Amino acid sequence: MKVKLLCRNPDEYIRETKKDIHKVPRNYDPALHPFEAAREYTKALNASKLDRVFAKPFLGSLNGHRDGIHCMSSHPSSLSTILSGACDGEIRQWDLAKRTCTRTINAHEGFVRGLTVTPSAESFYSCGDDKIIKQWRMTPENPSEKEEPTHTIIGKTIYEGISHHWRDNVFATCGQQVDIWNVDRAEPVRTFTWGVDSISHIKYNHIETHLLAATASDRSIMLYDMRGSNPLRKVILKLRSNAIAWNPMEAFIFTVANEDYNLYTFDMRNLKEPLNLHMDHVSAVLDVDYSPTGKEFVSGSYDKSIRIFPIEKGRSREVYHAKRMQRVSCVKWSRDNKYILSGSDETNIRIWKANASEKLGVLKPRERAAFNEVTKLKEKFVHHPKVRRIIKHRHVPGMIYSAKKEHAIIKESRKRKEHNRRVHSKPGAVPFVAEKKKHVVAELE
Amino acid sequence: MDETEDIFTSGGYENDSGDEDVGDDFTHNKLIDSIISLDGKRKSNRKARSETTKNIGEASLSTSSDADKIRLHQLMGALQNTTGHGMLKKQLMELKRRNKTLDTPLSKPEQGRIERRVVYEKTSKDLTLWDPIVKENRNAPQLSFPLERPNLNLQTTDQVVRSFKPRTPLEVEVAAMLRNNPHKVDKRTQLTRAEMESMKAMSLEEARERRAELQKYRALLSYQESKAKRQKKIKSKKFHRILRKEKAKQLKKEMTDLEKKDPEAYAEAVKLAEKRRVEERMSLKHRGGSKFMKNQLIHAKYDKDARNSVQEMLQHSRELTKKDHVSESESENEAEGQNEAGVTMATDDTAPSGGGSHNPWLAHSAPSQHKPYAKLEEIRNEASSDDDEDSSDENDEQNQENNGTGEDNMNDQASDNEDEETDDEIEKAFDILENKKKISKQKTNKKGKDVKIENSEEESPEESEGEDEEMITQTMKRKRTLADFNEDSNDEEVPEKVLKVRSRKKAKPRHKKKKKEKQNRENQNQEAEVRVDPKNSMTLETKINQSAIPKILDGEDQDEDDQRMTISEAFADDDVIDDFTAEKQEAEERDKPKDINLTLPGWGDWGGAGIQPSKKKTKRFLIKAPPLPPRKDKHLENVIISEAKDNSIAKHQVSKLPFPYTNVLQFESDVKAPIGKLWNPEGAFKEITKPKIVTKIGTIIDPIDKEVTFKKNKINSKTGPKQDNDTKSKKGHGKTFGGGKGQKRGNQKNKK
Repeated sequence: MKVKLLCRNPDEYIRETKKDIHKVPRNYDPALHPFEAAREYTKALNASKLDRVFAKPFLGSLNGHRDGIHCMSSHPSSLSTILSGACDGEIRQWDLAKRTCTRTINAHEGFVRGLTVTPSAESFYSCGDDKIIKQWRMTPENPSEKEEPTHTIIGKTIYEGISHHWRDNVFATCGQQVDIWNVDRAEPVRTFTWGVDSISHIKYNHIETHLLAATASDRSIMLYDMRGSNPLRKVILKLRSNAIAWNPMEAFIFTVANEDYNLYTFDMRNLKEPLNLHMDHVSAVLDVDYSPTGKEFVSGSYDKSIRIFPIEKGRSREVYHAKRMQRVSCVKWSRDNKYILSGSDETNIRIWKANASEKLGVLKPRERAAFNEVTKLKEKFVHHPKVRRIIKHRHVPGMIYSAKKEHAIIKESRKRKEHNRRVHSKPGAVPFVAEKKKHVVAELE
Repeated sequence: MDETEDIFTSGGYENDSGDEDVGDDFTHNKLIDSIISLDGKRKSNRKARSETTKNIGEASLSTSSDADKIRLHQLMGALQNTTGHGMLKKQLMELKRRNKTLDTPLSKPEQGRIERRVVYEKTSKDLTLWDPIVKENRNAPQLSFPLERPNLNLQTTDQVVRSFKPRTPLEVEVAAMLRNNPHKVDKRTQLTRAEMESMKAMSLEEARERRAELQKYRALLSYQESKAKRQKKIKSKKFHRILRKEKAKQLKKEMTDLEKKDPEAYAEAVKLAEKRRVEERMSLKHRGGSKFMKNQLIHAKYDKDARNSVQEMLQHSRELTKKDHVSESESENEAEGQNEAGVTMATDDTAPSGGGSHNPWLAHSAPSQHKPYAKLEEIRNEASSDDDEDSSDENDEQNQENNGTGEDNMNDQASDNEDEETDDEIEKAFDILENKKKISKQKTNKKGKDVKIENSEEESPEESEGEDEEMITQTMKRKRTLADFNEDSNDEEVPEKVLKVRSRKKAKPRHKKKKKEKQNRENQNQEAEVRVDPKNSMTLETKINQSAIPKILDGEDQDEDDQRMTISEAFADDDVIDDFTAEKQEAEERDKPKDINLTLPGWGDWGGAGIQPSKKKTKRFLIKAPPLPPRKDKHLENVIISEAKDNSIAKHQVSKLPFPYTNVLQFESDVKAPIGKLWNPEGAFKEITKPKIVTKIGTIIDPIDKEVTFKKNKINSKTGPKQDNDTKSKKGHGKTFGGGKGQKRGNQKNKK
């Protein structure tokens, strides 16, 4: 008699090593796994709730400055090093990992207006209200002695900002005019002027490294090409722009932080209207910085909050605030895309996570797969009211909350007025104007 | 002409505005007047200024009046009568014809504007270069940062050596030693320094001798190698068998030699062999345990080679487990033809060694082998004889023998392997013994009592132990191999056997003692008792069952009635149907829209307790509810269909079509498509859930690099020969920031 047996190939169910996972044969017959949409919806809802539960963005603060922080600069090759300049002329170097101050320099009389590190990371420049540009070594030669700058340039006017070229040994300062400096010379290599008395902020383009953008006190944004003798173009907005940031992945995109509580993203080839305007702040925006991936940017505002905007969205995805944090004067996105640093008036630098609920540290593959799945689920169900409500909800300080309400009322009333005008005037007399087009006053050639 | 005019006018202007040398001015003006008046046509109307004043009128400063200008023809007029006049005139005409003036320069702001526009347009145009890359990055399903990966290729030893520099003191010391070592191998020269020296030291004769010697050895080695290769290729089995046997013989000889020469080494070798034997006995490697063997066993049915290989394996195992070192005479004395080949019985394994070894248990048991084991002994002998036969490949014969006897049912599926057979037979022998014991037990206790099937009510609990029963049937089968049951096996049917077992099983627990002397007689008795018609037994059983069932089974009608009765009894108190109708009515009432009565008692009327509002007023202020469409369950008596819409789910649903979607179906299908692991295979799941941006922990993300990006693109589109560096960079890895720049520059130079 022959006995027939059911047999299985051991390769299919035996693990190769002890640490291997158990192979579980799966049956993908949809009849066996019903209610997929409902189950995934529940999962997404729970995930979004947990996301809020685990949202603890504040990591710590660096204190040591004795006056409000005015500018910061990150190190091009070391993630844990940053520099900060304060309103009392002091520059400090910080170790982020240890959260300690590693170095203090009494650099200037009055404000430290700008800080910039050379691409080789051997030295950095600072400029201040004392009309002096100073070059400092990144690592001091003699830590015990009082530090002296390696190079000093005494100018005729106050320098309000400084920015270093991304490759070459060239840097630019702004103030009454824009100067391009070569390291080896005491006089500027080139000077740009275009009918304004004060240029407050200047930035080199990361990709097309000869391009510069600056914001001026006459409400204008100006573009320069370092190679030519003339500026390129000027665009005037309704209010003054405080800061500017180039997108590190897209050569022609930049974003400005404006006094009118908004941020504007421009394509430098078309300055007639911004590509996008980002609103959510309830007070003047003081600084902006792009994430190194070029997909998001962070802005610090006079309303004591930091917001994170995706470049293609008009509204922020995240708002950070702390009880004792005052006006945020400068923000920086760390170069590994993980952290955000903010310097504020109450002398502290704060470290935040770029993704509030993200788990820091190494993720195991299964953990990562699970995170990816819930992220995707949240994305999928974001339009569902319950999920959206949880994802969007943020607790904000009373000041921001009430200001926001007030602004909504103002906006509503303006809208109503416009509507009324339109209704009570000849058809076509009051045209519809897109919100984007309302903010640019003129583009000057 | 104009030029000359200009020259003159400017001179005039200077003189007009000049005020330090008035006398000179005056004479000059006079001169001009006289020149102009030469042709006598016009009179000068110039103002003469004799004195400088601080307040100069604006009008007098103007120089633009045409009247002040001196034309060329005015000058030429004076020369009309001179000889070179015609010539001069010609020259001047020529000059006038050829001359072209520049446009007036633009004003500075205007000039700047144009320049800026041009530069801006140029820059904008240059930036369009980035459009495809930006677009690609924006639409990429996944971007992994940093975009440029560092070179992760393993360095070759050569590369490491090239870049190695001794740093630590130890390394420096070692490097210094190596540098001066004469044995250091250098790639450029074939021989090391030491070798060269030794070469020099050796005489020519010596060197020749040595060379010849080396040559000889090399030749021998190659001969040996080629021989081994040739032999290895020979497919003849016979050849290999002979070779193997020769080897074995050689080994044996060596061993005997060793025994004489070096007893210690011999003892060790013996120990090793013993260990190998033990290991072989422990493992099933050559007895069906290995994967290869298993496969071969499967194929053995169809494949002769496989069968042979199985045989070979078994043979090998037998050889390995053979005990060489027990003297043959001893083993022969112990039991004739005792063989250890694959016999798994514990007693069997230990028995042979028991004679020679110091195992007290075996020493004791050997003499006291009592009668029942005689049978086992016989079978063992049989097996051993079989074994001997097997060596001459006579399996088939044996099978025939087995079948011919017709002893065993199991022999129908007899395997080729005689090992198993021997095992079986030994088992059988044991079974027989056990069986005998059992039977004897049973019989003694029954003491002639009839084993009646009617007792099956008592039996039934025992019968329920199905597994036991089966096992017992099996043992029964085996017992039948004994000659005693030969006739029975032919006549009886299977159920009968079963019955037999049952009866025995029932009897077993009751009686513990046995009496050997009665054994044979009772055996016969049992046979007599057990012979019952199986069909009868079956009917009997059913009868009993029927008797056990309660009387409900009398008739079908009666049964139904009874059921109805019991149900009605059970639900005597509940008026279910009425309750349901009431409930339905209630639901209908509830769902009906209500009239709204807006009458206010006392409004426009007398008010107070107990006063009813007038009918007219009630009628007037009553808002009647609109009639509803007929209920869905109107004609369904036994059903309530709720008309109320369930809104609990609405708060979870999307009310408006979200932005990127253009129709509802699209959105719905997107939501319906599951992304979880439960519904998607692992690969698809990974693909669906992969994040848009991947960053590496603790890695700096540099801005996108223009040179690297465009070089990559260019290389991708370019065909033809490439530099090594370029091919590397094409893969997207293996290049640093600085390196990329350098390469770029190199390329440009090449182009130039």
